[in-house]
Amino acid sequence: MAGVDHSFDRFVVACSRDLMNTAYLLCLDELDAEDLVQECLMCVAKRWWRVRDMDSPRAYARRVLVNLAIDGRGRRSRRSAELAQSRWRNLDLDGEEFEPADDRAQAALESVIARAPLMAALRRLTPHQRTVIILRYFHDLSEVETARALGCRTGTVKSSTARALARLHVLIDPSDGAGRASAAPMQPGKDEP
Amino acid sequence: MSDIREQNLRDALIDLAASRSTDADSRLCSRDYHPRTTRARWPAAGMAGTVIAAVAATVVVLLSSAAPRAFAYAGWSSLPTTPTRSAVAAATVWCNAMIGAGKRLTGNPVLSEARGKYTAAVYTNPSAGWYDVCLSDGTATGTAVGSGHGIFALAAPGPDQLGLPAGGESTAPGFPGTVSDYRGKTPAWWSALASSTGAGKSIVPQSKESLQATSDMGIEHYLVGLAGQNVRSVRLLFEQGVTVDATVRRGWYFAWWPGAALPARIAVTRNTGARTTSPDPVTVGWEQACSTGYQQTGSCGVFATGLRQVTTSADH
Repeated sequence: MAGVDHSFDRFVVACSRDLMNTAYLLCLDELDAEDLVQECLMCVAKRWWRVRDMDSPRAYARRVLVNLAIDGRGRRSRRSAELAQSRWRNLDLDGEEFEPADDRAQAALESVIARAPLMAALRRLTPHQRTVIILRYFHDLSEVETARALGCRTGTVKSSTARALARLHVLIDPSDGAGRASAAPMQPGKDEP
Repeated sequence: MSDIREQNLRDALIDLAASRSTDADSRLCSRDYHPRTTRARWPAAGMAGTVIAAVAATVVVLLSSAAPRAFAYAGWSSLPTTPTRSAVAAATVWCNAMIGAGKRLTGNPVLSEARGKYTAAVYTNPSAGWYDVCLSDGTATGTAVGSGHGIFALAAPGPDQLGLPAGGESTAPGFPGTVSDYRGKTPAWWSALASSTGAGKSIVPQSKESLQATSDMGIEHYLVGLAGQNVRSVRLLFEQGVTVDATVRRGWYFAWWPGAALPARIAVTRNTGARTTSPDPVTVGWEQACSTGYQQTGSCGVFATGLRQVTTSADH
């Protein structure tokens, strides 16, 4: 009788951090990200007898992950938007309602505020654009590799990347007044009376 | 966007990813996924015939077993315990993954229980009229979901009564993903119960049940239903002295057990300590059994009022 196969366990240990990072950037919510990774691992587990012999099971898992994220964008994005909105309501970005207890808390607050424009801007991208940006600039995949991961043409990756970068430029660039105006609605806390 | 801005974007994404909590990483690694290491068991050709054979085999087994012995579910316990919140959350994740898009089990379950490594949770939505039974050992392949509706259309049971249970059974091992519609029918295991009790009445389930189970799930049964406000505990009595305690909470009762055996009697203990047991296989019955068909409203066949009080004692 063959011994117990622990290859999948080793795969999960090796890849869970990478998959969680990707899922978090796709979902911008930790709970949604964990759900997404579990769905992904379940899909991979069902096909492990085939996946384990692939050149890169990690790349396969990442492909499953991003496709699940795009396919499930409806329910996840709604939930993420609700969660994000509730969090923003509790956080005044000018610090008037939030008194940091010490320097570490102050640093944490400033860190959150510093990341807020990027998170808000990423939320404004379409799921496909966000996925392209993450694969190209977080994972440093080439356009060909990104196209392979998404199952689309290289030209589609090029055009999506260009549009996404242009959108981020408008949303994030502090020198662009229009960009700030566009990003503002993503911060409900600022708009609350 | 210039190269410098693109590099800034890289740095910002790395910083953003690093800002998340790493608690999920360890949770993901700690789970037992039971990956499939061999090709799927069922060949595409001849699938229909194989399915029919599997169902037939299931019925035979259901009718031939007498007691829930030789459980294939390691660690299963006839006495439920309270599961951890993380275990309920993990089970729900797997059940949601099985259900797929369109409906998600959210919020707090009306009740949850643990039996060994298995966690069960019952989710209800009275306004929508459905409930779901989620059963999972926290792995991708050790998960089953039972879904039903109809219970909410019925009159509530009296304070000392149990509502007629809905129930489901999984299929033969290695046969995932069936859907059964018991509405207006009498499933084999209820027939077996009725005939063994000599009640001579057709027990017509009041809810449509569907059940999905993954390949690691063998044959198991569950009962779920409404419980009156005075009901403290429910115990299922199998032949040869085997008992299974149900979980009773928030007006619901629930139990599941591995194997093909069916309970012969049910014992109900009320808050006063009085215990009502279906007395013997000859006289147990459901006083208001439906004649035919699926009843949307009314009390036909709903309550286990045939349970006679035979003892008045402290809770067992």
